[in-house]
Amino acid sequence: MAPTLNAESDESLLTLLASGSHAAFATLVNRHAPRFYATAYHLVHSREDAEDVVQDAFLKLWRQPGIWDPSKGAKFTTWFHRIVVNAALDFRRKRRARLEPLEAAFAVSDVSEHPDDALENAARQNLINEAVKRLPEQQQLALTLCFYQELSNDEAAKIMGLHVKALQSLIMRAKSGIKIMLKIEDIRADQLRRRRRK
Amino acid sequence: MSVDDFQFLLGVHGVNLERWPWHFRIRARLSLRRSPHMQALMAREVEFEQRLSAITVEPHSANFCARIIASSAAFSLQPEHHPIGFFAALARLLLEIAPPRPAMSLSVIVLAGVILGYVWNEAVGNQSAETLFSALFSLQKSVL
Repeated sequence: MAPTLNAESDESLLTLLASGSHAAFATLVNRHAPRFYATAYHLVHSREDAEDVVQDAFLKLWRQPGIWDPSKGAKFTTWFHRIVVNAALDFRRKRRARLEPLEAAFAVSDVSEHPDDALENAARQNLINEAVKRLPEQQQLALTLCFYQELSNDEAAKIMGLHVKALQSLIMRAKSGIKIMLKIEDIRADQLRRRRRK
Repeated sequence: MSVDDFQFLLGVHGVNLERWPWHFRIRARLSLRRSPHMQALMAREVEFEQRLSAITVEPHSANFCARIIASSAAFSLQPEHHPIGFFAALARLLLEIAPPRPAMSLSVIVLAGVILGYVWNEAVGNQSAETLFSALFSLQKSVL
């Protein structure tokens, strides 16, 4: 990779990319691929799949650099996040693997089987994982962009093509949903502890 | 700032007040200092976010970026290995040079027809053109 390109802005790199500069493409990949991978991972929950999604998105940009239209005024990262998110959601819809019933997630976190604190924590963590995975698609995406990717509400709303108020509503519902699941599990764990004492 | 407002902002912007809209930050800090209820809400949200943060992203493979770059390089070589056919190349050329609007395309086609007709007329000669015209005329008469 040409080291001189590291100082270039994303927009300059895209201009170079449009004229066929492979070095500009490589700089963009090295600069942003890990971050987009994290977003994709939160949506597809698998390393291989997330890598494939990001790779396909970048290859699409390489083959058709004209899809980036600077006149629309969007930041490259915001625009490309949308490409990656759409690709990840398409991938999920195609895969549409049969999800285990919700009880399975609770069964793993059954504290009666794992009396050790460490195991109990691991089980609770697993429960959060499952709870996030089971959120409706839009809620999961809102949580991924705003919480895990630490994007501003404005930027996340642009990526999702929503009004900010709608995005905020999705975040609130996502968090409430997870809290309710955790609360149910807390009550369940408490009941099990009491039963064990008797 | 009311407790409801605080709770809403806490939900949508998270526990890091630096990420809140600037016009809410100072009021939120003041309210937080004064209200034990808000402090309790903040403490609960901090605990919740800590649990959410513990969801880890599996690290990507070591050659992840290199693989994307290598794939793109391989892709750019493809046209040399699989040359496109004559008609595909012609279609691509026409699409590239075609004017963006249908009306303009029509004008270009008409103009091209006039030029072609003129060149044909000059090359073949007026007599041949007249012969062709009369042949076509008699064909039309016999059909009708």
